[in-house]
Amino acid sequence: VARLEKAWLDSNGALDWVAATLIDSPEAWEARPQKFKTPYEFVVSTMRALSGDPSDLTSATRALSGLGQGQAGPTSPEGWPDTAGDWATPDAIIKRMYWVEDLAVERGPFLDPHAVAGEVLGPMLSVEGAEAVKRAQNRAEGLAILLMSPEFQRR
Amino acid sequence: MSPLDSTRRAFLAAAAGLLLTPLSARAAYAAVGPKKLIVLICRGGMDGLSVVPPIGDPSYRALRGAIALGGFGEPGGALPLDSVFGLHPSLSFCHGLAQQSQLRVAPSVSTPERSRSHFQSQDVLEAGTAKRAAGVGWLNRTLTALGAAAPSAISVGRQSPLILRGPAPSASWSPGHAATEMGDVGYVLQDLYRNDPLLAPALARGLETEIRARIATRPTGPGRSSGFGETRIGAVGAGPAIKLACRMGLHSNWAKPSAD
Repeated sequence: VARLEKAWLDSNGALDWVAATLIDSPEAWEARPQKFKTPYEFVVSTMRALSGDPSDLTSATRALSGLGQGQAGPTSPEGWPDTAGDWATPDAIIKRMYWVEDLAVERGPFLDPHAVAGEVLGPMLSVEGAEAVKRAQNRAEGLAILLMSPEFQRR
Repeated sequence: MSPLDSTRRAFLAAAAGLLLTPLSARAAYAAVGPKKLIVLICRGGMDGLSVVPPIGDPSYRALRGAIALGGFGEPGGALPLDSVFGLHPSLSFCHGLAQQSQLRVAPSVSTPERSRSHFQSQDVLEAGTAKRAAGVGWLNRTLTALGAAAPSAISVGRQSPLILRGPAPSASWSPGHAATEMGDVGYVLQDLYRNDPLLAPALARGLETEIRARIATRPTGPGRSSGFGETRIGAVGAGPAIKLACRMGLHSNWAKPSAD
């Protein structure tokens, strides 16, 4: 943000210059996922990863409420917060972990964690993450570790 | 070996072997009487060469190098099972059972499964077949083979594991929220997050709070069950005769987890 501010001031408010600075910034070119997923993004991507039933809105909305992003329920008129600090709270991580564990136990018998890891993250999953999934004691645990991996928690 | 041992072994051999016919299984079961079979599945990697080291194998020391265990009779050495195989010295309790013919180890046994997938290997062990074969476990097939004489079976855990899954009915039960088929995911994640400046502290604080909350809300009194270890299920005579529990994490400080 400081770099963009400087570009704005240096160029006397030339928006094309600010946009170019934004595109030139190293963060924009970092291939690894950077941003911590909101509950909405996390629930949707998890359900996709586990080949969930897209019409099953009940479990999706229940999960969203449980993870702190209930439908039409922002606590502030500004809407949902957008920074990692707002979402990556200790309680939120634990709640995500429990939700994912339940889901993985339900879906575990039908899915191969290696295959799911390849589909949803591929080379983006860290070597340590892939190893942890591989070492999991059963399918459900492998899925839970995959979905809670730092890479899957971000986009 | 007492006569009781021999009939029990006949039953186990009949149940586990390839020659499981309804007749032999029923006869063996009838001979055993109202005994209970408890199957514990210890999932997770275990270094079998440290648990049951082949001390008598001439190549053992050379191939095992610095992590080879001491020979039979040496101080801190392996405890002999026979002239070749021994037990890790930490397993003296198990060794005592083995000497009373109450424990049997099956070392150097493999399945045809060669994918190196942890998950598929477990499926093969639980299905008792070379392929996953329509998701029927060998314990369930045993129930079918026993027919009308089949005892009731219960699995401990939130989901019936493959070994007991299939057409024959069985019950399942799990203590509270404890996901017995789920290892300690929080523990794995702590390791996975260790270089993550955002997630590592959040997880650590979350787990800490979680433990405090559990201690604070833990019920006291005789009905309390804090998990698998204190669970009493069918401890009296009327309980199901086949019990199955899955307990995770056989990783001990002396048994290095294997790579797969």
